[in-house]
Amino acid sequence: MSDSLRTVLYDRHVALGARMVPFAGWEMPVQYTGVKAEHTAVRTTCGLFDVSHMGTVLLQGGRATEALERLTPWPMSKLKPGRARYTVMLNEAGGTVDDLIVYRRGNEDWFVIWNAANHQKNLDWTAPILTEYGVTLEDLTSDTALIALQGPDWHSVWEQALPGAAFPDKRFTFTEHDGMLIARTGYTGEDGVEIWCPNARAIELWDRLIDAGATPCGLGARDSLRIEAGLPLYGHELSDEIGPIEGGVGFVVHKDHHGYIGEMALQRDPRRCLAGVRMTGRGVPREGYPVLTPDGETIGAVTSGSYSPILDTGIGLALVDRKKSGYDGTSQAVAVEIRGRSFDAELVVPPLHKN
Amino acid sequence: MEIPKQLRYTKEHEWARIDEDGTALIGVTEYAVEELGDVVFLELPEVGDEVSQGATFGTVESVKAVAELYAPLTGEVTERNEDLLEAPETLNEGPYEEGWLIRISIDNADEVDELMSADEYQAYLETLD
Repeated sequence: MSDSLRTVLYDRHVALGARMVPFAGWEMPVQYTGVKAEHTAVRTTCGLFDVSHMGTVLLQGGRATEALERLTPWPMSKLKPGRARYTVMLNEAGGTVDDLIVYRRGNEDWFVIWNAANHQKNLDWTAPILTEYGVTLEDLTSDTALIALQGPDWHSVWEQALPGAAFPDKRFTFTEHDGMLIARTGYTGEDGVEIWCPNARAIELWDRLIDAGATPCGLGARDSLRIEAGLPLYGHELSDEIGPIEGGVGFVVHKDHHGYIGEMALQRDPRRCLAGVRMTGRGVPREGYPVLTPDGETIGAVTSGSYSPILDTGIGLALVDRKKSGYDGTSQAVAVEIRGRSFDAELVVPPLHKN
Repeated sequence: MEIPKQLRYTKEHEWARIDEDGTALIGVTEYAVEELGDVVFLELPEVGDEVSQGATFGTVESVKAVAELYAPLTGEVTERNEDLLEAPETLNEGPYEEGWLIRISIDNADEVDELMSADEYQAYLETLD
């Protein structure tokens, strides 16, 4: 792991007893006490994540908004400053280069967060477009920490940690003060904020939020929470081969937006669609496990799987053939083949923990 | 990391406690449990089933991963930990006590010699990091 990057909070994770694992070139905490306890904390109280490894860039100047309208299937010019939008970049074949969140700070001033694993790929992908539109990209990833405070008690923890500090009052909005960017976004299916700050300020902020009662949570809980919430992870539900509509995030494609990369090739009526999977008995679905009809016909495969401490059952997401599965967004009985044996399950619409 | 002296070990991180009545109690080590994280499901053989040294006899599933269980010794299952099947998380709390998996009658006592002592297992773990 000696070549791995470390976030500014590395020593805090080790002191809190975290198990550190290599992830997308970084050494990150996968868990502190255990995934179940951390997952449950986020659903019932409040959890704190260090996700400083995520790629963070500023796109400024030139025709930055137009550049984003080329790079994504959304009319970004309509987004007001102070608002954020989840979106994707498509490749020429209509597959997904990456999914990302863009935060509009001003007319030609955008703060962008994307996957750590795709950071270099995205820099390479966007470079010619940014040049064409005269946009300057500043890579903040190494200089900036990102801390996510997530869960129903996030606000009381925030108030206790940072009394009187302004926070964004609506989902997918953000505010900036004291060198911090605080956004009402997240990746857990819970309310909460994500806070960017310069590395030099991160340890104090982390400590204050922990002292105010937030439970430190690792990437293990982050994954099980996002699966339960039905949120895609690049490389599983979205990829260079899997476009946003089949990957379950068709809402990122605006029907009246045109001229973006991948528009012509975009699969608007794809053969497959994404469904939630809930085991009705034992067993945990894992990536690659076949999904079958009750009669044993293969209709798709699991893309991500985990165990839900909230439902006390195995859960997952799966890409299924729309025709063969007949999946219409209502619950239906299926089976998941786990190590050669068939286990009963249901296809359900995420979020799985609210269903 | 706890590695009880009286137990014998496999490279797959199972332990066997050889009892005087010719049976062995079988479980997985603390190292295995820490690697797996929160255990949520177990699959164990039925009483009366045969297990063979080095062959899989069940699975242990955690939130993040699934691992095969490999039998340290050959024999017939005489008992399995029904309490553990009901509460798999117990395995995280005490892999050497309440987290035992199965008891088998030992077919071939010579197989015991192929297992590692606690010191050997400790040395083996040091090669893994």
